[in-house]
Amino acid sequence: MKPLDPTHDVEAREAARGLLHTYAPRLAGLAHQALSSVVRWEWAHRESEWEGPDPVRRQVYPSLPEPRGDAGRRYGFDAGGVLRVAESVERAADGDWIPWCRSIWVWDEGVGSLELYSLIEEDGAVQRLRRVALPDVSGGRMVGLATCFDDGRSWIQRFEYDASGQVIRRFEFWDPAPAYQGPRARYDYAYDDAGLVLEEMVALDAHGDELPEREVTFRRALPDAVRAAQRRVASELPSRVRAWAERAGAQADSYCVILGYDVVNHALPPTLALGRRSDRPSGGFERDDEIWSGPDFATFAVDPEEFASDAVFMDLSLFFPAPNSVNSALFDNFEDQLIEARNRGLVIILTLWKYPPWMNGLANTSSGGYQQGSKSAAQRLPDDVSTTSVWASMILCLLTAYSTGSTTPRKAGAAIDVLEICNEPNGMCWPQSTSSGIRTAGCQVGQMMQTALIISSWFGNQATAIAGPGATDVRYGSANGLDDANPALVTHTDVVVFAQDVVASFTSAGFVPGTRAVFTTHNHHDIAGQHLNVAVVREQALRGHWAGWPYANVNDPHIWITEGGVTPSMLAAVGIAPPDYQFARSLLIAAAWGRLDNNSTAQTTQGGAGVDLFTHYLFETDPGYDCGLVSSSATGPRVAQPSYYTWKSL
Amino acid sequence: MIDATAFYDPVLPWSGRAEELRKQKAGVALVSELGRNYDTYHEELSRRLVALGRPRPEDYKTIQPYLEAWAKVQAVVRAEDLLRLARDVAAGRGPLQPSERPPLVDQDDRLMHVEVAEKLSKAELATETSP
Repeated sequence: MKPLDPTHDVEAREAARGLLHTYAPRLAGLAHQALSSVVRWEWAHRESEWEGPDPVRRQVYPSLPEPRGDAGRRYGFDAGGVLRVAESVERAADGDWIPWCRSIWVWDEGVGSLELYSLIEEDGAVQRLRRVALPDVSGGRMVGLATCFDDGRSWIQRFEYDASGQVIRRFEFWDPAPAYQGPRARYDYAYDDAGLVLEEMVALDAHGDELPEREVTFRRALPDAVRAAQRRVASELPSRVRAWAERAGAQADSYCVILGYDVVNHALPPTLALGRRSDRPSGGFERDDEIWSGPDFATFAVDPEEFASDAVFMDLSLFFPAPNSVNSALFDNFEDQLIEARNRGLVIILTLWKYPPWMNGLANTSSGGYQQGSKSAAQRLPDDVSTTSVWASMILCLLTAYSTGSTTPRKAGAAIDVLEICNEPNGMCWPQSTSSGIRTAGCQVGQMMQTALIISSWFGNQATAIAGPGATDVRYGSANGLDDANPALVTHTDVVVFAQDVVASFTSAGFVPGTRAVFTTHNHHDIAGQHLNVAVVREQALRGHWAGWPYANVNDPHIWITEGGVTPSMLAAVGIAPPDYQFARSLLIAAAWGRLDNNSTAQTTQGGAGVDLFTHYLFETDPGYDCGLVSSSATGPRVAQPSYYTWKSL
Repeated sequence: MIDATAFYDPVLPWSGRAEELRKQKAGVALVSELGRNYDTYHEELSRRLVALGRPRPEDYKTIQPYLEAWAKVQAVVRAEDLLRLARDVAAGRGPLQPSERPPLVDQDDRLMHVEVAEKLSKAELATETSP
């Protein structure tokens, strides 16, 4: 353990401050040197961007593909595997990546490294040096970090480790501290067997003595909400085991039900399997109490393929780039997927999203208005959604091609069962309201559903069901998301209010939805926040007004959840830290199911009544959207995550 | 504040003086004309909707005429919605949120007069909120 040495730390701070000034004029040259040494770039996962590679260790950073969107963060490594450059980049109109801020590392062999963080001008020139961080490395481990900003602030952190390499203490030295150059705060760390980290901050006065002020943080503590989910899952286990055994068709040679608890984290909901003697491997394990691994005996063998793509998204701006023009390559690939899914006996929901300019009216716009806030032109709802609009012509094109009742399909066997006409229009799309705050998006989507139902009705008894609105389940209370610059403008609409507006557009026009109109919503936030807003939508928006699928009965409205699952950012929003992502994800998915499962012994309310579909988005993690049950094949072998086994056991 | 250009859409079946003002793109005058003469224009729209009737697939050989017939129905309903908006403006009232607006079409596919629709809405609201 390195002893505290105030003199050393003052020197370190002064060194960092000096470097801030002396290196600034040379920054362009240093940046060029660092960039020239880069032999490979690796992309940061959007959800884990803050982590990045550790600059003080040579390492292999996980290889991720370029992001599909228009922004990202990437890391450049030299031939020795050393991190040299980190850049936040944006995609230019020509497709190139343009950096807007950059950190470079200049290595001083045997001593440490210098991090230079700077903003980059549009022409690539360095705007100014903002920060210098001078790590103090000892034995391959960072024991100190002196940081100086160009506004004069600076501080130093020093770290102490135990024999296993865990940080046990951290000191903070603040600046300015004219009289006392020692630490002003001490952080003590303790770990339990499950890896829970307790951090206790002790404030120190100007003489280095302890102050009464203390702050305790549990770095990996579970919030109460997750503990509640854990208890709920545990209480439901007996009924789950019985139901599983029944579904597996237990026979004479069945001799056990296997609870496959995670070997690392026993608090995870277990996977369930039915053990049969006939399934036993030959040789050994003759006694019934000798059990090999659960999955080897599982009647429901782990097969990540079994859930593949039953919900397909179609980006209209890519599939229909111009009027009367389709991207044939995309359609061919898409239709092959439809055929494959149908061959597996899956029911297919096709969800449409994004709109090319020729479809949403922006191509005819002569002045401005090509985006709203962070929402792009392709997220603008079409102005005209009547039955003779260009948007309707696209719906007709799809239903003619893919309705099971179509006499002119594009490709034999490529058919869909349900067409969901939009995706999260209350959050992703614009405009949500007039400039004076009168909501418009819900009515527009209701009109889109009516037009699609009219077109679908042409195909008679085999008409494709029309679904919508597929709203994101965000609640804003009585108000809606409002624009900071224009407080009257609605930017996001509450899921219940949006549903009421959709229903109102039907009611107002005297349009009865009918049995082929499916009301859909998402439940990402229900899962993460442990709500049951889908039931609120049903009770406050649909009951008494919505005569849709399956009975066309306003007193018994039904609803499908066409997207669910939680991302790390959603978990972070409810206070769940990175190491617990998979654990919490599993618990929350199981708990969400429990809230909807009316047959569950733990279910005390009929929250799931009328909810006929529960889905998970995605099956396989997208490198840009970490909401999968199975890890992305883009980053290595597909591996089922704990949430996969939870999902499978529902 | 409302967007007068919404009233210019050529698919909207305005008639008489309103149609002339639409062609002139005289937005303020058009909204004023419609708002001050709600009954007249409502009657005209009602007659049009009755004449159009509800299009049914079995009445058409191909889909395009079927969709065109529906577009005319949708245009009449939209025109009634705008007509009521103009009436509110003329009376100095602001537009209502979607879920607060009285229905436009009744169960027999006829346009409802705004005053009838308002009474119906109030009666339904009273039924829903009664203990």
